[in-house]
Amino acid sequence: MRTGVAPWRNPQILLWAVLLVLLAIVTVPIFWAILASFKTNMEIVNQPFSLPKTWNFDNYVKAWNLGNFNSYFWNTTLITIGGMVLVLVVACPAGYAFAQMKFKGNNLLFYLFLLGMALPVQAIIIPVFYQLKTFGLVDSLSGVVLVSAGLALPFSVFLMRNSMKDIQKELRESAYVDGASEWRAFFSIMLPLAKPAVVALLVFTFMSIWNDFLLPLVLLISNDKFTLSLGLLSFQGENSTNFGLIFAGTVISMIPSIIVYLIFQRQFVEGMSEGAVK
Amino acid sequence: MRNQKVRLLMSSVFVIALLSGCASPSGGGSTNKAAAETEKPVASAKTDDRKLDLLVPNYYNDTEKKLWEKVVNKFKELNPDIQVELVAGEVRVESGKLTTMLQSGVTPPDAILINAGPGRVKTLSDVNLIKPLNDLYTKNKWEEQLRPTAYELIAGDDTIYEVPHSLDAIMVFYNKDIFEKHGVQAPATQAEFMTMLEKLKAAGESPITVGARNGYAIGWLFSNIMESVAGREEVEKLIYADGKWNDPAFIKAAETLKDWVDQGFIPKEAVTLTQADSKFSFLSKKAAMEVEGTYLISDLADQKLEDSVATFTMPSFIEGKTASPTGGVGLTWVVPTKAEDEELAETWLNFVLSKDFSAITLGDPTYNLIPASSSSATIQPAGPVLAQAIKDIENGFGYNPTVFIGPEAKEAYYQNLQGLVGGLVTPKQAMDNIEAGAAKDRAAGYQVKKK
Amino acid sequence: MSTSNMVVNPSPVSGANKVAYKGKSKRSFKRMLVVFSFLAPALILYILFMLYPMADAVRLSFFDWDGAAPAMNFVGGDNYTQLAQDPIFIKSLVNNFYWVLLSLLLMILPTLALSVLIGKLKRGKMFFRAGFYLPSVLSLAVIGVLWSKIYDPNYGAINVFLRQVGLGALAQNWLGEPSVVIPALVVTSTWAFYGTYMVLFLAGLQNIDQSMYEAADIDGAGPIRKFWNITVPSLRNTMNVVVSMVVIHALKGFGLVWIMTQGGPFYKSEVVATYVYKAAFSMNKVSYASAGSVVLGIIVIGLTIAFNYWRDKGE
Repeated sequence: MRTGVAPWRNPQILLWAVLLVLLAIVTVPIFWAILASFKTNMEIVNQPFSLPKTWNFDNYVKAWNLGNFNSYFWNTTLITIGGMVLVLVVACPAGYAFAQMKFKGNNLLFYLFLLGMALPVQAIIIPVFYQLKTFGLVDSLSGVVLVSAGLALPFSVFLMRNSMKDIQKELRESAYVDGASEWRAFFSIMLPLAKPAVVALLVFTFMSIWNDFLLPLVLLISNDKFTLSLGLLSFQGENSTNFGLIFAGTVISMIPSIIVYLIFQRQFVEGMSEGAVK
Repeated sequence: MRNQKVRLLMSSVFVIALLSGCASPSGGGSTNKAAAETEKPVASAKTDDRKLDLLVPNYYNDTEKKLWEKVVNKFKELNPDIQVELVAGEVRVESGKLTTMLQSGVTPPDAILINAGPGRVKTLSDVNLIKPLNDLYTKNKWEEQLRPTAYELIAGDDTIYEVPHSLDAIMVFYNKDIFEKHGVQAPATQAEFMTMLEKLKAAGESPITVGARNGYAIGWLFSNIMESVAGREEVEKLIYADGKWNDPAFIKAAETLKDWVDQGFIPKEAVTLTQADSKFSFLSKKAAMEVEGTYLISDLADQKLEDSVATFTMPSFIEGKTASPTGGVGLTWVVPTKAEDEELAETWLNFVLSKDFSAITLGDPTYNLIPASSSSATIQPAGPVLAQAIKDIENGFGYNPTVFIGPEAKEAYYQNLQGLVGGLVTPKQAMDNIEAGAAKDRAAGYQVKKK
Repeated sequence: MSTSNMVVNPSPVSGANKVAYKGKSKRSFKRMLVVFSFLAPALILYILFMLYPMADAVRLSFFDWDGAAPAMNFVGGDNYTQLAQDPIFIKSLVNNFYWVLLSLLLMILPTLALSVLIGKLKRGKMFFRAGFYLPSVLSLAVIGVLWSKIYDPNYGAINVFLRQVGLGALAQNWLGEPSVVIPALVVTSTWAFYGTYMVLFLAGLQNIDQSMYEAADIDGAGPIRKFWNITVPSLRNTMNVVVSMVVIHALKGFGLVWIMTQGGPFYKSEVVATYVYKAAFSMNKVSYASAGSVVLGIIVIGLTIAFNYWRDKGE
């Protein structure tokens, strides 16, 4: 950086300023929603852009209790954690097998999984519904967990395979010399080495299940099983006239994903760029 | 960087969690499926007590919540050995949720209060999701316990699947203060009605609001227009006999709707408003009128607007005729085929038709439905708007087509009315499209009968 | 760990070599068991909730089923012929492709420009990358509800703002005007998804050899020329990925439309996914809807394969 130049002539500072303005424009809807969630109905209509007159949490308390957001929140948490555990348990070994083990049909099977990445959920949602119906799993959280994990699988297996492929084969082979089995090699060597990818996988799965809309919409029916996405929608539905409440619900729904993202943003973003570019 | 440390900490927590997750099952999916299963919240495990499960339409204000509590408490008082669990949910057949639930294999509620109408009930009964109730009707003499108009509407077919809960009366709600401010009064004739609209418009008010994005809501307004412009006989012919949607009388009704939009009596934005938006606009005095059923009463109570809102019936535009509020059966009870205990439902339905129920509901000034039971006819409602509405339909009421038409016609009806408000379809085209839908329904065997 | 005790395989020799020895077939069987123990859970889940439903969707589409009737009639390709003659289905397909086109326009160049700007930063790259990515972590339900309020004709942020700065004439019913509704939805979807593409572009930019820029500097090339002659060609690979993702995403769009317009006004924003959903879950036309979703699935999978083929060929 050259010194002694007026700041507006310094391209880096100019760049910063431009990007800051852009960032402000892009994130304005989020802040608008947060501000509105503290306002009364009349305030939202009459002074949509001002700061709230008082910072009261009435809307939040009401949404949490009367609006059932409290149960939506726990349902979403259960579904998300269940889905994450299931995806992990299933995708890690499969990724390992595809990356490190030699067997007939390895590539073919892997392509079969890749096919799933192209398949739009809409194309299978109708049969999935009737299939779960025969299992008696419609309108149950476990049904959503199973299907969510199934849908997340192609990408997860893909991600795990790619990251485990980079791990040197010699490491695994040296474990064999010590007499370790394939499973032990997997647990003691591969998994620890693939840690960053595993964290990325977890964060991805969290985001996709926490934010999902279509599956819960189709598979959940009773209000007491609703996830945040569905709850938010039914909340703003038919007879609700309360905009402040709706925004409070909106904010409640978005906070957890923002927090998880802020904590894990590096792993998340890096995992994504690696996963997709390869 | 501090963040780095936090991240490291969090990720190690996660990794530990996942390692233990990965390590515990010995490579099989079965163990963890079971784990997922246990997350299922305990739903209806207790069966030792007799428990009546009811599903009623969603409500979003305290007023309605309290009313249901009152009703349920009365029932418990009369039937101390029965537990009641009343759940509010989505019960509009069109949204598909209800059908889905009844098909899902989940144990359904013992009785469900749905938005009524032969079309909706038929959607459920056609696929045997709800029970025929003829035996219960005979056993409990329900025919006599219903208002004759209510019974007529549901007993057209040999098999009866429902017990009417309430009658609709859809009419014009208006903000008295806005009317007074501009020196206009509730109109009694077409001429007065039009002058009133023009005066309000000229004064810069938004005369009529409607949530055209919700088909049923634009349907409320259009049912009033059909009653006023086309006349009840024509609508009756359309529903029960050989009337066609593209008959001149209905094209005229569609032209009227379009004309009101063109003249600015209905804002063009209405096309994207939901019913909630529209109601909000009316209750916050941004619009002078809204066409709605008596359901609005609970919102008026909730927002303390009882004194500044009143109703009138849209006057007939045909020489020498009087119009009435439109409607039909509003909400109706059905009993799911898979419901466990029919006797519980029977007890509950007897209660709904009883004088106890009428007294407790009509006695509350915030109650927002016209009970379908004959026992309610003798009770003077405490709420003035409801009392007025009951008086207005004493001599019969017009039809709200939404309640009567088949699924294809209804989908077309909703979309094309919205199209009319948005200026996206001409009145003639719109009515042709709806008729095409009705033709499909007829081809599929859809027909409504009246006793 | 029961599995590991059961199968002990000390040989570091890969399976392919072993198959050559006939006498070791027993060991190779054990070997398959081990492989299977790694793959089985994933396979079961995948077959149960992806492959089987896929096949089932195709099967259903040849029948005439309402979702509840105990018997279903085989009707051959009837549902497909009906689809081809259904003006609303055709219209939703057209809307889908219009959506694709608009997404490509709105999404790619602006996002690339933004990424280049961020890439030029010496400090704060992480900050801006994280900040600009923020909208992408929100759920579609949140985004849909939020933006329907932003577009609200009376109280929405955009119209109120336009009126306050004296541009009231530009204010309109964003989700109600037939010519505006899809662009408005695409703007929302751009806001919702551009973050992913930005991250991909940033990763791609990082891999560009800096010496190329230095060489261009010596030639006296301006920033725009450098952008077109160096940046864009070097991002070829990333660009392929992004374009295919944008196209496929646009075809799959459901959530935002469902939440913000449900296909209205008057079918003006109807897309295949919303139309199919309505047919299946509110009009009980399960088989007809399955046929529609099969058509959508074929288009999406076909395009994906085409993109991959094209990319492999280009390399």
